[in-house]
Amino acid sequence: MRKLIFTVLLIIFALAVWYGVAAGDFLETLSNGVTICLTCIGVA
Amino acid sequence: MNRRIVQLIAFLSTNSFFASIPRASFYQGNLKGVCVPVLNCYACPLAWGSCPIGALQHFVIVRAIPFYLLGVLGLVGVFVGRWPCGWLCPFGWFQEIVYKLKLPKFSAPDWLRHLKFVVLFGVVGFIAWWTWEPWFCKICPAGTLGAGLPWLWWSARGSEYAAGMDFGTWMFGLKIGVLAGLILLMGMMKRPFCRFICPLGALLGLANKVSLLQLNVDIDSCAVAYAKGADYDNCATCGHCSRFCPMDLKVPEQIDSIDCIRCMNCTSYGSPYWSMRFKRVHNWGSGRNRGIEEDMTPVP
Repeated sequence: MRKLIFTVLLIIFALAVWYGVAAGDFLETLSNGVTICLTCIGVA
Repeated sequence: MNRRIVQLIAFLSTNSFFASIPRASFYQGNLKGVCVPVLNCYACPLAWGSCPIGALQHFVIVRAIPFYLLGVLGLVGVFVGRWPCGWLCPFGWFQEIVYKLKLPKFSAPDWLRHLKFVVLFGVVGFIAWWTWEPWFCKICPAGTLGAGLPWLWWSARGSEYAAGMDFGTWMFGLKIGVLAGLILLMGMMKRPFCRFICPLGALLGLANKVSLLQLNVDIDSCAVAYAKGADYDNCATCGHCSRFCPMDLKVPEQIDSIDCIRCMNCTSYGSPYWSMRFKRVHNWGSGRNRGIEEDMTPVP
């Protein structure tokens, strides 16, 4: 049963990564993180 | 491999952009699109990658589902559960170092462990969504230590990237206060941030129950239990293995807990007779232990 759960989750998360990268999540993280994080730590 | 060495390698692997120091800058290349599975601030001048919690808040704010991020964390979780917390996280390592200070030691009530889910869903989730601001990042002590303080230094050096930043605000004072308070707690109790606050630990810990990496214990082979004529209950109250748990878990009852960071301390330093071992089950099938790995001679 746990093997089944593991396999299903593995497939789901792998698909999520693939879809996310295809949808531009990687670039979103890359480009917008700058604004977010410098704003936060710089208390702007 | 020695866990401290792995922690050091992990820290240097994710935080080695030393070129930022002479330039008072930070890395902005393509690797920033990679979310590391630990709490490591995007804005840390040495950091190569992104913090997953910072990234998560960004997606919450822009009202988008972070498929890539959740997929990466999910893959890490289903393979090793909360293992990155015990072996890779620089902030977790920092807490273990601070705990070595000669300060009075305290335990905390067990219910406080649930607080990190309030942080995850309440602060990282709801408050970020409601205010359109990444409030966890604003007060994150890992961010203050890894990024806030270095950027204060960058600002003093006149870094162009720090232009417009104001470190004299109440917010920065709050960040410093949170960090200082936590450092004090770290000296007095085991990994308080990991146990009570870390939203990433909360996420990864959920996968502990289903991860490929599991811990099992061969109670029947424990020489301590044998020597004392103990049954399982006595093993649970022996407390020897629990002493070495950096998350203050009761070993072995809580080895499946979502708070177990798979540091394996209990497998290395547990029974003084070194015959109570946790079998790392890679083919977990029924999840039951496969028996003792080695025949250890009890130490008198």
